[in-house]
Amino acid sequence: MPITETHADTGAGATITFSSTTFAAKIRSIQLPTWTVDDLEKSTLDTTAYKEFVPSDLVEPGEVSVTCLFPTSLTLPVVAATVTETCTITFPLRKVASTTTTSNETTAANIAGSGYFKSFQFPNLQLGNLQEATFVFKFDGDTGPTFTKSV
Amino acid sequence: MYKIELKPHKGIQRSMFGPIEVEHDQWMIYANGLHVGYVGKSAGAPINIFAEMPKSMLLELKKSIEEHMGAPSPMAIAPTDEEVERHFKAVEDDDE
Repeated sequence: MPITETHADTGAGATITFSSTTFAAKIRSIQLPTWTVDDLEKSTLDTTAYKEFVPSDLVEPGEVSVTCLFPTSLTLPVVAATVTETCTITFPLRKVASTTTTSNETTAANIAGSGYFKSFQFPNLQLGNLQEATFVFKFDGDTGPTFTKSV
Repeated sequence: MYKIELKPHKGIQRSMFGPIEVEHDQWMIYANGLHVGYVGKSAGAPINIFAEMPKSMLLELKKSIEEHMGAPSPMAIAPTDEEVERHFKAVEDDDE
């Protein structure tokens, strides 16, 4: 019977790692970057319908926003533009349809690139709420970011 | 015996001149052909494993990193059981 790999999957099993920072927090969610290019309007006086645009030259590499549980024993990442390293988000291996078994792929997809920790937001301390921290890793566009599909 | 491989982590980056191949500052770790983690190239870099593996496989992994990097992270040179437990989701060997 052929193996049917599903096209639908959740983020369960995804990981984020850093090439220099040991960060042992439990991750709640990972907001992946948005790659965008600016619009340059090129409308002229004889343009009669919609505005006309061309894309700019360079692409914004974006940033990764991560929400994690905040144990107070956590070693914090260093927020500084002078400290650069590689951040890698690895997707879960794809599942086989209707089961929890993974496909026969050996390498999950990943997004990786150099950058720095841009911010670290400490949790809100209030009744009835988990202590959750949020940090942002900014891709600096030096190496990557790259998206490599699963194989 | 486990087959541990460290492969360069490469990707395709967009540029004004088209896609170009870049190499990230880390290796991808494969155990018996399955991608299980990453290790940075710089000395002292953490070893990031996201798959459970037996301790004997971890020892093979450390040996491979040591051979590959020459002067790897302190953990890769002289790992203690405590460090193994802290850095990896170690599971018992099948034959133990």
